[in-house]
Amino acid sequence: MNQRGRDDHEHSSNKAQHSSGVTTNHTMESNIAHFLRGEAEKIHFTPALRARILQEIPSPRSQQRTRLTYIVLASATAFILVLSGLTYLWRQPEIQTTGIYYVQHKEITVAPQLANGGQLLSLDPTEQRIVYQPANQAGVLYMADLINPVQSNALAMRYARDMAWAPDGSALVATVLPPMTAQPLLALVPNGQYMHLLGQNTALAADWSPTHSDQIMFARQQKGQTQLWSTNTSGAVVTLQLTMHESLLIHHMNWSPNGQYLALIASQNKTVTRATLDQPGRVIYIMDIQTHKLNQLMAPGNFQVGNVSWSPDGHALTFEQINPNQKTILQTVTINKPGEISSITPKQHLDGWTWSPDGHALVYSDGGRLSAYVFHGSPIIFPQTQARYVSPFWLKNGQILCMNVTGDKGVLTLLTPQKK
Amino acid sequence: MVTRFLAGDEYAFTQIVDQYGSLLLRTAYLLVRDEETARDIVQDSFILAWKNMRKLRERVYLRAWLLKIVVNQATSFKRQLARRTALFKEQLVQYTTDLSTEVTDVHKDSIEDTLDMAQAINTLPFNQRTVLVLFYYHKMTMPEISETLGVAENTLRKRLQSAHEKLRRVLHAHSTQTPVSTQQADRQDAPMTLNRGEVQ
Repeated sequence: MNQRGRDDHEHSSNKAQHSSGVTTNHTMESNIAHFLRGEAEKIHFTPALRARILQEIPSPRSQQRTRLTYIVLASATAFILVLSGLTYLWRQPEIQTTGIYYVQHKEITVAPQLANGGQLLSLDPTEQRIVYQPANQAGVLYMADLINPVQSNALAMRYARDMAWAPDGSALVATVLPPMTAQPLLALVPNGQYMHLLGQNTALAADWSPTHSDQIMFARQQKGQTQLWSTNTSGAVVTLQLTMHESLLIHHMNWSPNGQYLALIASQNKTVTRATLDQPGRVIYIMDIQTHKLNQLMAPGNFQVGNVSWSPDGHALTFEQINPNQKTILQTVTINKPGEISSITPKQHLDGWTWSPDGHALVYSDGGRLSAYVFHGSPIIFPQTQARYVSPFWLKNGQILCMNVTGDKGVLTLLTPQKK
Repeated sequence: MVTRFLAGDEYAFTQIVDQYGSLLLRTAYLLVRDEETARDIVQDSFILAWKNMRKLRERVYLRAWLLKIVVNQATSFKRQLARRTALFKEQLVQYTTDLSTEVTDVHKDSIEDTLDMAQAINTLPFNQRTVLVLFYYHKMTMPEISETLGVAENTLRKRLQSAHEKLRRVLHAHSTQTPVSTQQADRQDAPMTLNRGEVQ
């Protein structure tokens, strides 16, 4: 008889009516329970199984060891990270010490016209004089000696459009556009004096000759052609030097230091009127003085051309590219390889820039903070202060002259390099 | 002992293994019906208990907690087995078909001779068998089973009821094929209510 059969016999009278009214069958329940007990007794918890289980249990010591191992590994990792960080931080100053540090050396009080929001525009080649424009007075330029800028401060010209220093720093040549004149006129500003016109010569732009230090060269537009003329400081004799068949409305001209190239910044409109004279420069031409060939350095784009400067070796030209959103980018183009362009995009806004005398770097003011774009050589580090340094000029002795503006007041400041 | 176990006392754990080892092994065996698998399940369960001792909320529930671990281990074993079976099923289908006639003939005699409670319980789904084991073997109440398995009491009652009905059907079917008394047939057909009044 099988299990069910046996149990059925043992509990043959188990059918009953529960007090709740539900019929119960205790026999079935008994059978199940009895069967399960019987089945369970077929298997035994043997000492071998017990030993197997206890053997597999990781001891607290091994757990502690594992935990300890994790802690040690984590600590070692953290230690390595901290050590790497410290090494990095330790090496940073070491790297910086190989560079050139600039420290603020001297402050020079200036005349109120410059101190109260004036803009430092130019430093003469002998590094003795400055030219600046007072705030909100376009075309008005003052000149001052660096030794005594307050006492020597003098009005130099009005209606100025463009200017250039004589190589010996003795005078400025300029083009001015006084009211009631149709075309700009050539003017001269000897040191400490107010400007005077040079023989009623009309001139779109002017610069000093690269080969004759007392000779002035200026550009005119006549009969649909662009002409280059020369004159002396008296303006009495004018000589036509060369004619370009292109009709250009030139705003600025600038000889390369070696005299090989002439950079011409022109507007796209070619007709000379008072209205077109106010338009910004948009095209840069480079004329090779040997071949008289005129080339566009940059195709006109949706930007204006601001200040322009040759690199000290005369192989590259740097210019401000003023975009429609008024963001200015500094572009440096190699003349023989116009595709080689170095771009500097200030994070804030450009507040002046200058080439180093040896041509290894460009220093620019990015919203008052000086930065250096080093083409080759040691890095350059400027003081990290709250001061706003604008309009930098790199001197031949390595110092940097700039305006230090605090609030609305500015003073001339000399920064001195210190090699560490 | 439990306190010392919770503190990581190895000796206390040994005592727990001695105290509950047999009970857990038999529970596992009733669930999976295979001795070696039951041993593996108990071993794994004790290891899990040791590693997760901090999860034991109340000391008084140690037995229920250990049972829960065993049931969970048995459940996962059954699932693995089901997956493996499904995998092999397709590969074996041709072979099974070829032998089907022969097997059926052999089986026929076997069923008639050996159909008993064991086979009837074997026909139950795993979740019904689990309730059956905890209820009848461990004499646990429905709230205790509910707490152990994390399943609602009503669901458990339905499972138990279904288990009973299926057992009755299987046993009755067998009884009609074998000579049994009228009295036995009456008992098997009678509606059932379970002990301890949990299922109404």
